[in-house]
Amino acid sequence: MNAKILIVDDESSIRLALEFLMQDQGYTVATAANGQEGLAKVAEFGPQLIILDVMMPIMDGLEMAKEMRTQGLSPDTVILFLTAKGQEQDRLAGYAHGGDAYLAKPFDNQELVELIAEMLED
Amino acid sequence: MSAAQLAIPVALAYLALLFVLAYWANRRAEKGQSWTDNPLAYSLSLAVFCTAWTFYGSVGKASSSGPVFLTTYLGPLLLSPVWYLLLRQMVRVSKKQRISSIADFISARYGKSGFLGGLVAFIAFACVVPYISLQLKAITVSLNTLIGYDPATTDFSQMTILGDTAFFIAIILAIFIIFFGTQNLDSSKRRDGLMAVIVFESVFKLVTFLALGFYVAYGLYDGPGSIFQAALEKEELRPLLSMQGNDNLGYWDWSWFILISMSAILFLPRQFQVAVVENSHEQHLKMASWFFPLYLLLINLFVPIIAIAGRLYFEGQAYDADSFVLSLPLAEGQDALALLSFLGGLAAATGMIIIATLALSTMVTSNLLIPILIRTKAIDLNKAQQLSSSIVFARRAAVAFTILWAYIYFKIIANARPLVDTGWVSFVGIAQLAPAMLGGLFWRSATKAGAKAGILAGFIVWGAMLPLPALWPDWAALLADSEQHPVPRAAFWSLLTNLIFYVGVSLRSKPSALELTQAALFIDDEDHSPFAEPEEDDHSQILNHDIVALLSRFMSEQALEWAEQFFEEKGKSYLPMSLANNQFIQAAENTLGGVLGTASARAIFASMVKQKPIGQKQLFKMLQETEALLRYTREIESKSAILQRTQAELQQANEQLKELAQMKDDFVSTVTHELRTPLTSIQSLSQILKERKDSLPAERQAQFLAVIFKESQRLGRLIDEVLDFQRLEQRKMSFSYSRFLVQELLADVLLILEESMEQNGVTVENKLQSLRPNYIVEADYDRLKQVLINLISNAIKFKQAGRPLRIQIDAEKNGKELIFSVSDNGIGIPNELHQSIFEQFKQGQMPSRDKPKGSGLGLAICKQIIEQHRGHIWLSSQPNFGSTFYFSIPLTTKK
Repeated sequence: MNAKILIVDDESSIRLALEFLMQDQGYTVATAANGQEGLAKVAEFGPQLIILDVMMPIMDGLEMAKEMRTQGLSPDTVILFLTAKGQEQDRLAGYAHGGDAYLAKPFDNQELVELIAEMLED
Repeated sequence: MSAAQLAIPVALAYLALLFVLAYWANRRAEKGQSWTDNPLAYSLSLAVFCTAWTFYGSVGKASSSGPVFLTTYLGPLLLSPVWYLLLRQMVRVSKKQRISSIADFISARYGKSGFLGGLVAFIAFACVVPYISLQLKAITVSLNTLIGYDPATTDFSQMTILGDTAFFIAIILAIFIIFFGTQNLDSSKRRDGLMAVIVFESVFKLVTFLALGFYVAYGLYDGPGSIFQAALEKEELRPLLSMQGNDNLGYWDWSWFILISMSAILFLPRQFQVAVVENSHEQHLKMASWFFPLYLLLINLFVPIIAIAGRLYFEGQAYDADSFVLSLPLAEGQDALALLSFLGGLAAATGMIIIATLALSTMVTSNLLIPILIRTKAIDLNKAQQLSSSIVFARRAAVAFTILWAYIYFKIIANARPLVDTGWVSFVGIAQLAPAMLGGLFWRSATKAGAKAGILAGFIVWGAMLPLPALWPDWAALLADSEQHPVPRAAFWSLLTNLIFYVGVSLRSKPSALELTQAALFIDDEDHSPFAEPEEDDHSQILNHDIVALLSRFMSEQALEWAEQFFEEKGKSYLPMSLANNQFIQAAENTLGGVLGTASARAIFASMVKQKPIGQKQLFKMLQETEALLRYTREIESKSAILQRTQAELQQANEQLKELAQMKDDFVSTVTHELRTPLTSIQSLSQILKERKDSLPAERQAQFLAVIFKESQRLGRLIDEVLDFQRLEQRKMSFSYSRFLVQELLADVLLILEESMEQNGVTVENKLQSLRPNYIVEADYDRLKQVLINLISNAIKFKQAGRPLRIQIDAEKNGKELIFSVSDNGIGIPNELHQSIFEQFKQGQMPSRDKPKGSGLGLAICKQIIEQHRGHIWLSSQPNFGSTFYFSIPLTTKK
């Protein structure tokens, strides 16, 4: 299968790692550096899954997820929050804003890959 | 039978009637059916004020001087509105303290002073005995007038004692008083029989006087109008109808006469006796306050009529104006009326003699005799002897002594003076008690010393100005002042002296504890007095039994009864072997005070009961406790203020701590985030490299490794910043100072940042280049470089998207400082952050959308570095237009 995955993160080095990992799994990948760019990419690219950073300039991940849900953009798209903010309250905020899974940075490559495969199967 | 024959038998019959009346009244009172325990009787008893002076002397005065006789009654009349309030307070205090005389009252008010009691008793004796002798004289004169002597020509002082009826009447009265006045050991208790007699006499004298007045006005003449008309036609009688009268009295004199009579109605011992001591209910005062003035008005109604009628009737003959009430009916052959008049006068005189003698004897015993006996150990308190009979004996002796002395005085002196004038001398003397009495009721700071000084000084001036001139003609000549009536003159000077001494000495002396206690009892309403009920728990060392034993020596078996009743009223039972509490001791002292007088009772209790009921020590302790309490309260107040301040400070500190904790959380979260970001890519990429080392193309491997290296450096920088800040804040970072050219430093900084600036398209304007003097500073080169790099990096970080960034760097001399400035055209910083932006972790509070760039410690580190160079750092900024950061560094200039 050839699922589409959108990676939204302001750190180019992280984007680089994620992009490599996803492409390596055979997914089609698009990237964005902040929420605003991310929203545009969602409409244009139509991903099945979004790997979304939380803290970003211009528009953060939470806001982007909220916008997506309120605008009804790709209602079937699952969101994985991938963030350095790993505290419980941040996790809850992620779910509250429409996230489907939450993974803290730094992550284990294998773990991430397995989680994404799982999320796409559901 | 003629009046002359009937006079003595009628007089004796009258006196016998008094005995019978008193006896029956006592019997009824014992059965609880008192004749005198009602407001009317009480009001009438006050009419003991109207004596033979009123009966005979008023007429005499009116016929010789004119209306001035009225002043005696005008005083009480004018006083009546206040009279009620004054008397009520006196009654309340006296009942509570078991006061039995005016001497006792003053002595009690001023700390139960024995001396004051004695002094007042002495003054009262000196002033009132002549007055009693006046009554004896009135009886003698009136009786002899009836018998046929011509009062205008007879010299009564030359009569032998045995031939003098007045002597026998005096003895009869003494017996009467001894029998009905000294029966009850407690002088503060009411005497029903005696009061019944006084009430009867009050009614009797009014009725007889009114009867005589009617006879003179309408029987002898054609009504008052015709009498006054006739007087106006005669030149020598006309002044009698004017205010000045024959004595040329002005408003000044009238005022003083009125003032003196005001004090007399309150403070004459006999008035005090009937109004205060014999008062059974406070409510009786209400009726008295209007009934008694009315009585005075009625009894004076016919005085001017009889006076002028007498002058008209006896015109051209020798006459004694004081005897008109008898000589007018006698001359007309109206023997029955003359006898009635005589009895009326007798009633007025005996009433006065009875009450005045009783009051004096009480004072003399309680305030002079007993204190002397105790002091001279004639009464030995330490010997278990029965003293009640001795006290009764002493009081009876005092009655006899008083009357006897009055009689002797009459024989020696009274002969010479008209009735009314002797009365005024007495009044002015008694008025010397007024300041101490009134002051005692209203003025808290009045002291014993002040009262003593005032009374003594006033009494001396009185003595020198009134009685002395009569005894010593040379002195009289010295005083002679034809312009002024001697009575108002003496009243003015004596009372002025009295007041000056009373007030002056009071102000200069300090009241004792007991005086303060007593003052409170006299001035405050009992309910409000803090001393009204002594404290229950006092550590007296005396048994209830001892107190009763002490009382019973003065009161025989009544003491035990009294004690049992006392405890019964309190709902307890009398336990002889219990320690006496303060209330009981106080009540016992009061009870003994009723027998012996307040001062004597105090003296006895003070010596017997070692622990004084409200002693000086105790009061002092109480005051100290109060003071300590006040101080404690003040301390608590100030402490609670401190506590409140501390609490507020703590709260503030707590808020700051909370804020700080929040800031620390933010900092930790920011720093960890910043640490995790490079760590994430490093971990992920290195993991890929490790697992796919063989399959990964070489250029990918190189790319990943470059990123890993770059991110590792970033990680290192972050860690350095955190460590730097910590060391700077704890002043653990050592600075290496050197002198260098500022231009060199700037060039170095720009070189370092060159690459980054180029990448970001930043243009830098270094205003210091070559045009400026060479500034030299002494500082840590590397740290200062760090500050500048930080500020420029910040400017690059916060540039405005889509606008090329321009940075201006400058340094300018300001006094002994060099001020650097780094300006940019970036996004700017909102005003509210201008201060806090230099604080550690504050970047976390920047608008959340903007992801923190760096640790948030950069500016905090700059601040630490600048401040440790003894400089300052600040900024000016306008959002959207850019910011300028300034910092100052102490300067040394090289020429």
